[in-house]
Parts: sequence; C-alpha cells; structure tokens
Amino acid sequence: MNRFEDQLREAMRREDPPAGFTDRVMRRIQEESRPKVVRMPVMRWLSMAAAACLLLSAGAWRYEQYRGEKARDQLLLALEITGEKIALTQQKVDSISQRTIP
Amino acid sequence: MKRLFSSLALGTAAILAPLYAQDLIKSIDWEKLAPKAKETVNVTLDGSMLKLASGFLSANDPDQSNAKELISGLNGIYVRSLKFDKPGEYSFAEIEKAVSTLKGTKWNKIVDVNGKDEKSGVYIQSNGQKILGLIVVAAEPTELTVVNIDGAIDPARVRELSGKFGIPKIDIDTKKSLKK
Repeated sequence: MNRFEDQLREAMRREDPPAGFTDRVMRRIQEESRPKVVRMPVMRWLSMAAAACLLLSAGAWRYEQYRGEKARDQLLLALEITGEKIALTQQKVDSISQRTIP
Repeated sequence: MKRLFSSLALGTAAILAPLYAQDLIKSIDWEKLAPKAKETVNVTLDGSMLKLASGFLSANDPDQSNAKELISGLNGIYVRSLKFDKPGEYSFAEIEKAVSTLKGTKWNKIVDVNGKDEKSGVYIQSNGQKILGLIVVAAEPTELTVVNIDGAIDPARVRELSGKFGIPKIDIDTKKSLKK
C-alpha cells in the first residue's frame, strides 16, 4: 500500500513547466486567432486573368469601333456640308451671272 | 541652288497654309456664338482621325468609296457651322474681318459672293500644280459655316458628293459645345 502511495505521489508531483512554455502557448494562441490567408490554386488565378484580359480586349475593340463609326459619320457630315456650301456658292455665282449677262 | 530655294519655299508654304486656315477658324469666337445657335456642328478630324474614319467607309457603297479616295490625300478636315433662329445673332463685320486675314497669304479667292447680309467665298491654296488646301466660308443671315480642308483636294469632286450621303446636316452631331 505504501509503495502504491509512493508511486501515486511521485506521479502527481508538482512540476514546473519548461522554460519558455508560457511564451510558446501565447504565441500559438495569437497565431490561431489571426485570419487565415486563403490560397487559390494557380489555375484559378490564370483563368481569372484570362477572363479579365478577354473582357478588356472586347472593351477596347468596341471602343475603337465606336470611335471609328463616329469619325466616319463626322467625315461624311463634313463632306456633305462642304459640298453643299460649294454648290450653293456656285449657284449664287451662276444666278448673278445670268442677271448681269443678258 | 535656285531649285532648292523654290522647293524650300513651296514646302514652307505647304506647312504654313493650314496654319492660316486654322487661324481663320480660331479668329471667330465660336464659344460666344454657340449658345445663341439653335443647332451647331463641330467637326475636327486630323490626319489620324481621317485614317480611322477611312477604315470604316464601306467599299461596297460607291459614294463612300469615292469619299475614301477623296480623303486619301488629306491631313485634316475642320468644320464649324451654326444655325440661328433669327438674323442678327452674329456680327457680319466680325466674319468679314476674320476672312480679311487671308489677304496677302497664299490663299487665293476663287469664288466670292458679297451681298447685303451674306458673304460666301471659296479659297484655295495651291503649289501651281495641285490644290493644297480649301476654305469655304458661308455667312448667311441665319447660318454661319466655315470649312477648312487641309491637303490635296478637288473642290469639284467634293461638290459632286453633296447630297450623296443622305445626311440631314442639322440633325446629326448637334453638339452645343463648340471648341476652337
């Protein structure tokens, strides 16, 4: 009985933690409370980048189309106005000539 | 040596011609006149924009095809046009003064119509062989238009294109902000 008691006492003997134990525990608590960085697979990144590139290219192409169509419309308008004004001036000259030269 | 000097003179004239033409447009205060106008047109197409526009002209449409050929030798097209509700919204004297700045330059008046309340003129700048630029001024009681075409162009061919595109002049591009 004494032997058993001795063994029990030996097992339950108060023992100080090893040096730095508290620090290590506290550090571990802090690390676990930090938000974890979610790492995306490389393929996912690549597909997202490809989609973004595609979207940008489509946008740039559409914008170039818009600019070109606008420039074309402006050009046709400019030629229309120029032609009209030259014709009008010519008409005025013709009508003056008809009035002055019998 | 003489040939070199004449080439230099022609080159300088070609460079300066559009400057004078641009000055004509700049000498009119469009910003001041635009708010009074019921409709405005402001077209500014430099060389790169003309190239871009040219790429969008249809080769299947004969008139657009003609236009494409016509603009192939151009460096720029600038149009300012205002339409007013009633006469007297702009100073006729101011326009005459602006047009007078072309006197003594390389611009030659080929057509000029002067009325009591109207002034129309067509001016060209040439090197003796071909036209290097064209200015059209049309000042009417309720409409004021100045066109400057910079580059080799045939006015008769532009006139032929009149009415071919079916563009209602005033309904398109009625921008209210005219910039010089």
